[in-house]
Amino acid sequence: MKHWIATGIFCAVFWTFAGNPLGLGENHPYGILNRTYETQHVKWANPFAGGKLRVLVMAPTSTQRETIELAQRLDLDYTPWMTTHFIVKQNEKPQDWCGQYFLGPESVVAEQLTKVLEKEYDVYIIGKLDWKLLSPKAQVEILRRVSKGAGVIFINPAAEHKHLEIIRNQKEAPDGKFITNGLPKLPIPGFNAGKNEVKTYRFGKGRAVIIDYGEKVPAGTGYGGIGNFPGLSPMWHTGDKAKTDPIENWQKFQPETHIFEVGYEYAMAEIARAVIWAAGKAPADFTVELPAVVKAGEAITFQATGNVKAAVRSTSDYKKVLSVSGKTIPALPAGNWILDVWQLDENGKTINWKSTAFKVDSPVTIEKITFDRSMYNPLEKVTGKLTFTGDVNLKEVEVRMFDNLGRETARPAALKQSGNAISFELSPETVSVTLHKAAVKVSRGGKVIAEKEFPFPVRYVRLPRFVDVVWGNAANLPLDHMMLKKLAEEDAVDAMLLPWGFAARAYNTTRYNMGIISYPERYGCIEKGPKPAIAKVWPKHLQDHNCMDQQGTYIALKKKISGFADALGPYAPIGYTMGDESMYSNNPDICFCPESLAALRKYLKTQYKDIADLNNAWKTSYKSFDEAVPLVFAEAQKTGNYASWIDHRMMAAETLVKFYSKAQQFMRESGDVTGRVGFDGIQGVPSPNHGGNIPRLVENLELLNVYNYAHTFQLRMLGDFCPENSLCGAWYGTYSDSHVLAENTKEYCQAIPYVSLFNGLRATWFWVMATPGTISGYAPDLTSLPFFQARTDSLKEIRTGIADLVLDAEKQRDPILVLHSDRSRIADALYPVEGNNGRAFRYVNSINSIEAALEDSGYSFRYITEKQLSSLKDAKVLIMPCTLSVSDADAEQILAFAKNGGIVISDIVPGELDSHGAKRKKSPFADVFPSEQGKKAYGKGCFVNTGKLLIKYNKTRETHISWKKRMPLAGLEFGKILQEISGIAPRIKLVSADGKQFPPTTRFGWKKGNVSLIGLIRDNYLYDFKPYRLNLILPESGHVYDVRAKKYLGKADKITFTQDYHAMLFAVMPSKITGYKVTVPSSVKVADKVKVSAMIQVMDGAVPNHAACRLTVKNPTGQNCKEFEKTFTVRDGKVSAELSLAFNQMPGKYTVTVMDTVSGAVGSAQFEVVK
Amino acid sequence: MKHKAIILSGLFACVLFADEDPMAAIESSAKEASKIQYKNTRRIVEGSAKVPMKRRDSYSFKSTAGEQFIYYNRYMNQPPQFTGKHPSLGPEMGVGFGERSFSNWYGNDCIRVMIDKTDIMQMTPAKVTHREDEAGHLTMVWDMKNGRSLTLDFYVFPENDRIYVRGTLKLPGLPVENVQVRLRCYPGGFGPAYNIPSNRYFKADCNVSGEAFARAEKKTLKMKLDPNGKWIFLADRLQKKGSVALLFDPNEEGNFMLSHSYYGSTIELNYPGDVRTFHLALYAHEIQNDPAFAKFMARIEKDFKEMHEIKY
Repeated sequence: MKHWIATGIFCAVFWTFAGNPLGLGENHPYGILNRTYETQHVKWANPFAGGKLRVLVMAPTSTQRETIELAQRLDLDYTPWMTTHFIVKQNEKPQDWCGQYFLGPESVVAEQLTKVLEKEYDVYIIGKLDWKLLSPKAQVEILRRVSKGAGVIFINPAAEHKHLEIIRNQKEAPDGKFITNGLPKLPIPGFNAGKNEVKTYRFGKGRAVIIDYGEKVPAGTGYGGIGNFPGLSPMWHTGDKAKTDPIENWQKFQPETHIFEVGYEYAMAEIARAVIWAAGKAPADFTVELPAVVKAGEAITFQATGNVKAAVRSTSDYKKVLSVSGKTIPALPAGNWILDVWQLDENGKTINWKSTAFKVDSPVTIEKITFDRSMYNPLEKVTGKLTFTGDVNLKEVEVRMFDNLGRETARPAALKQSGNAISFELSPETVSVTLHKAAVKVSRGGKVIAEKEFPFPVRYVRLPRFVDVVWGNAANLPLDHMMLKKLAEEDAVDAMLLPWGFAARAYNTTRYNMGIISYPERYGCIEKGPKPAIAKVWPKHLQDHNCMDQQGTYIALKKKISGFADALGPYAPIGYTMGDESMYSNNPDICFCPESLAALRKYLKTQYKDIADLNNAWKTSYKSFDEAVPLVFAEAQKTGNYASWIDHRMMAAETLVKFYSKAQQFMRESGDVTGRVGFDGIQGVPSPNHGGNIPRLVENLELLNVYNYAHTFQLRMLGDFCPENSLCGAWYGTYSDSHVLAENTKEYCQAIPYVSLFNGLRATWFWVMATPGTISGYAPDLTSLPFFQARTDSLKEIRTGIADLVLDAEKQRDPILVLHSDRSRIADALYPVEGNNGRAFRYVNSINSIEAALEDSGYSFRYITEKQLSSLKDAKVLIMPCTLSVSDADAEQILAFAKNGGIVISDIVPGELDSHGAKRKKSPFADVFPSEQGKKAYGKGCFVNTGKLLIKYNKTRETHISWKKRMPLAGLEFGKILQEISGIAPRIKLVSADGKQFPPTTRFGWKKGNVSLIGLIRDNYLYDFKPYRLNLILPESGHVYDVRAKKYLGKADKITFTQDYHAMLFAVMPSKITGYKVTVPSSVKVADKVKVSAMIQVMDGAVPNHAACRLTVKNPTGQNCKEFEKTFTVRDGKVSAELSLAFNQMPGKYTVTVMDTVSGAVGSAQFEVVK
Repeated sequence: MKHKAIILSGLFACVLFADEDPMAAIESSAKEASKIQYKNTRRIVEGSAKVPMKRRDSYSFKSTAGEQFIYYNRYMNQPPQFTGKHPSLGPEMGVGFGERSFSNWYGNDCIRVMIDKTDIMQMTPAKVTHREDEAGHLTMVWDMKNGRSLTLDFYVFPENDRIYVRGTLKLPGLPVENVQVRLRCYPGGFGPAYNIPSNRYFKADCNVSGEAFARAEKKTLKMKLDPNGKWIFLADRLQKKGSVALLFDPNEEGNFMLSHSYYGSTIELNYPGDVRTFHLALYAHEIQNDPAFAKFMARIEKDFKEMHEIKY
């Protein structure tokens, strides 16, 4: 009794807290297992005539989705007990703080065991665990209950135990044959193609089952933990990765998921039957009789006792299931099939079921297909050859092409026969997704006697305007497949980043119509890398990934890329990242090999007029460039002779650019002409030799990604420089409760897609979707944790056309430029100022602090490099954070700018070093720049030294304290000074509506023609998420909309609204939008192209020059046609589109709807498809 | 006769080959298997002529719920290891706890006992003994002159969610005015030492509560707890987890003081001079602060009784 009271209090205590049921925080996955998300399944015994069975499933957290899978198939009242691993971990080193966050704490796991055992169960399932994971008390209690009549099922025990020995010494239970009697006696991968031994025993009054799959469970640590190793069903693939996911072309390797899915169903059926037997509820057997072999094309009848229903399933494709009417199996083509028969009671509940395999024989079978090529571009002819066993007549054969959405995209193939081989030619006329199939049928006498489908990729990926990339698992495993499906269909993921993923992972990803970013190899980090451990983890890379100036490196690179292009190119990866957290080197002096010195000397010739010029900067007396050898860091720092060491670093950065540019070139030459090559997660920004000069990199690379450490300059800078077609963004995601990197909170994760978009980036990058329930956005039951859902919600909003709206308008900024001088960054490492220690922390803090201060004060600005100083003509303010190195020519330009009224701001006296990094006797600004905090007039302008005002101001982002407690913010003070001196107020005026001070809010503005957009983002790092009432003074008056809410706010020049942690986007339109007039033809035929045009409808004003819309189409049954869904930029109120119909387009009425992105107003029209 | 023999043989066979109860073997081995696993590891740092060697002992008790640690760092300041004069404890030395949230009860120096302001634990190193059954038992005895001693008995639960401490003083013939037990903790962890900000608060019995001053203000909140109270709960709002809690006995007639800062907190339990036994229960939570507090509150009465009745 006391226990129940305690349990009641315990439950009451926890269930009052929203989110995690065990008090671990709303974003913690441990303990969450609901039936909210349904996957494909066969209801083997659900409902079950024997009643609901109470089952306790004891298995690792990451495998507990299989408890739900079982509950979908068998009528269960389930309770999970989730462990961290399969086995008892000895001396385990803790995972890093990212992975550690997601683990159930040991004391909570132990407490849960006590709690779950307060209830009684019919069956206890031990899912591949080491029995020693349970306390001895729990072990004894469970077995005591079994001895009194309950059941226990040990599935592939992870280790031997005395108790298992005792169980095996008990009497075997012959009636346990119930379990396997109902299962097909045919080896099926994913079920019983490997070992699958079932032994049943009596244990006192109860029953014990031991199922042995012959598997060794993983010991795993690290991010994947135990990988996606299932806890109840057999592992799909075993063996090393080279065999299960080789770097092979799709023609040589097929992961055969569609076959494994069939096996999975029967594996689950086996467990369901084991549960029924162990619970003592096994019904009497019933007979099903049918021939073991039948003829193709002929219907047959089967015999079965009782009231039955049946279905027949192909063993080679999960989707091929046919209902059986009465007891007549329809005519089937050749192959292995399974007849599933359910015996039902008067209420339609399953009493028992039986699956019987049978073979359908045919005089003709489809043996093999050979495609003529492995790379097909969209709409290219697909040709190949088919071979058959048996005699086949051309007229009997049909080859059709379908895409992965089930659309027939070509007319039936033209065929030619040559002996028993038939060549085919398919001419596709439309393409919507990557994966296709050639569906081959042989018919005789009006019946299909053989059929087979052969998947193949076409180099096409549907991507929205703003792409979401997820680093995640995509192995050929049941849980991976379930996760991929949900990510693609419900959670707005467009592409998976596949670390060292090849044939299998690429196929698996495209199976769910997602694109791929390949991470096939890691380059860079030459010598020691960012951590010494890198060299240990990838020792090979020191040989293969040698100096980036050596010819051998490029020969090896080209060879490798050729292999990647062959394996992955057919899937048209949207990108290849050739290095996560890559950089040139963390070593400040790499590289001095002969090739690098030769490359340096070549570089020097482009930087210096002649050898005398070099000698002057380097303080040397070389006779030729071939003698030049730079100083190492220690020497340069000691002597104050910086130029040679700095030149060497500048060259290294160029080498990094050259390397990745070459990689891009090799990829093109290898046949993947669209894959963008680059690297992700630029690391070690203060490191002088890391080579990560963002503006220079994106001149050449089409893929680049950064970390958004506590609001650093990298993301903003990337947005200012990345070209339109590039795939650039920043990592965020499962970084636990890191307050610096990127928390997994809903506040942060809803913002980052908007932060990326508003800064002009085309993509967000989420790390990581490992096993659900571990380091992942999913709980163990595949439901989204709040932080992941927040990001999904933002992405879905952006997909209403917000990306088009923002990316196709022009950024409007205050006339402020911030100069990024990479040479100054490198040089700063030489200065032994406090905190530097051989790194450029001063420079990095300086540029970060300026960015934070400007944004906190409400200003927007643009980053430029020295090459863009000509932009000064359109600017009023130039800020030069820690700019040590300035060329003579640039100094002249800047002085002229100030003289003509410009304001120049820095935190040091810039230009101490010249353009080579050599120390000047006197800076060109020495006489005009204040040496301490202050201002000096110069001509019509002035020079301003901020001194210590903003020192480490960026560090405020790393503190949790609400910004208010740090008032007055140095950044706001800077803003006041800036306004006073320059006379420029922030373009976007945001003030409190009720006199309360509100948190700094970053402001973004865009304009196109007569349309203005304003974006506002609360800085998440300041941890004030409360709502504040604000007034926004608009740049011009107009019809104002809250774009995210699609809400009309009226005609105004100022609006009052409430902002909390959500991003806000307002549009100022010239008129009120009432909808779209959509025009389509009234009637079209299958395979036609449907021209859609739409015109925006307005009231009270001009047509907007710029807008966006989303087009959707519903088919005659009311279902969305995903292949047609698209967003558009609308120019001057007009937009047009073309819908390519399939050859098997469903006849009937289709509704085209165009929804305005800003207002949510819609317009529709219908067209009819006739055959 | 023949029939009887057959029947008897059959009966004999039934008896001989009757099913043995499978639970018999399982239950008989369970008691031994349920024992908590004890381990002691030791680290020595050599000293010098003037400074004794340092010794750090980790006493751990391992169950399926994890491993609980009690640490003892001290100088080996007695002969034969050292013949000079030196305290047994230096800064950041003493008796502490680990891992995970229990390390917020400070692994280096969590507990100190003072008699009339004299730190007993500073004098000599303690003798340590242990025993394990279903729970872990550790006993530390500080022997003083004239038959006087301080004994700390620790009871470590296999659930790893609490540790009971019973202190026993033998002070024959010593007039004592005051016995102080000082406990140190860092609710929410050690982040502030690495510039990670904090927002630390506490709730105590009889409606006492408070918040620490912000770090920048460089002040510590000092207050008296209600003498009738028996518990205190401390946590960090920004860390959201890693809270700690303490049960103590008002019947032992102490007056209890708290010094609470943005980083560490010190609880001083000042008992009258005639107290010879005191009881404490230390808690550390892995779950978030609010559910941890609710859970702690739900168990106070039961644990309060238990910490007096349990067999240390």
